[in-house]
Amino acid sequence: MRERTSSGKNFVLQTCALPRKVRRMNRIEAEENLRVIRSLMEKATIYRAISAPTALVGGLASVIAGGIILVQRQMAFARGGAAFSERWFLMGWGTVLLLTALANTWFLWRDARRRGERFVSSGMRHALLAMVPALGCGAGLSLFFTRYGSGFALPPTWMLCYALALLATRGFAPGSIQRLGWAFLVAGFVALFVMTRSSVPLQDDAGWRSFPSVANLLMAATFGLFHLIYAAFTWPRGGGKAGAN
Amino acid sequence: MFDFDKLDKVIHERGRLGIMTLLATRPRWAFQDLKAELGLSDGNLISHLRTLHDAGHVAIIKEVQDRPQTSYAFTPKGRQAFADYLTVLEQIVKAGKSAS
Repeated sequence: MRERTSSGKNFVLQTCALPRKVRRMNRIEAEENLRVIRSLMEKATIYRAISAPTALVGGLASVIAGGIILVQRQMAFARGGAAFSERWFLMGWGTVLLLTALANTWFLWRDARRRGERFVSSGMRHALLAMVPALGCGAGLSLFFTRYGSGFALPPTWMLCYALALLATRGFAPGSIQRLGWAFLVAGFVALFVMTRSSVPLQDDAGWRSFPSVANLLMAATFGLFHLIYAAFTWPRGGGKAGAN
Repeated sequence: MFDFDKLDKVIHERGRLGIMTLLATRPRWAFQDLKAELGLSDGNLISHLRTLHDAGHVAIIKEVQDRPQTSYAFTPKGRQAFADYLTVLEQIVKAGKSAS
């Protein structure tokens, strides 16, 4: 009798709990679906400010520029001519920057056209707003260091400012951009250490004899190799677009 | 009490929900991009897109830029259906929270 009462009580309890259980299941499933929607939307709105083809162009241009500047310097010395000038260094790397910026603009425009989006999308606006302060600092410090003959500080400054610009986009950038940013940040401090350890007065010829070798090596190794590695890891595979990692 | 009967059954499937979500983020999506983003096979994706197209939720855009390309976009009906679907999901979550 007691058993029957107990089982009947359980049946009543279970019957009462059923709608609640169904409601709970609905809620859990609804939450799961909302989570999927949110995650997909976040993934879709990720903005890759540097595409893999841009990185390839920038990386190759950096390696080639590093080589050309070094050869030009050797030839200048072989001719017994004037020492390698800061102007050559700035012109060479300025050209790489211009070329890479143009390539990036073209690739981003092409991607935007393919996706049926406007070129200046909200993603690009966010990226520019995030990157401009660090890049502006880089430009300002470059002018300052060039004006006051502290050229040895240029490579670390460029690396650190570029790193900060990349890391500033972490809110909406894929993980690979962040990893590239961290790599440049570490490399920037290593470069700072290397350049200050090997620093010599750059106002005289002796200074410029040693400066471009180290500076070019650092520039080619970071802006060159880092970008080539980045391009290799993020290159679109299987006809799709670059992944969000 | 809300239940899943109120939900649009065409949208309420993981693959199609993914497609509808992505279509909500951009004016249009190329087939290859949808495939890469969702990780679906060609056949699976085509099947889901056909179901959504038959339901009037998705428009097919065929064009030739550098090469022939098929893109997909929301129809006004699809956009409204997705918004309604989200509203019902939110209501279910709210109702579940208030009950517990």
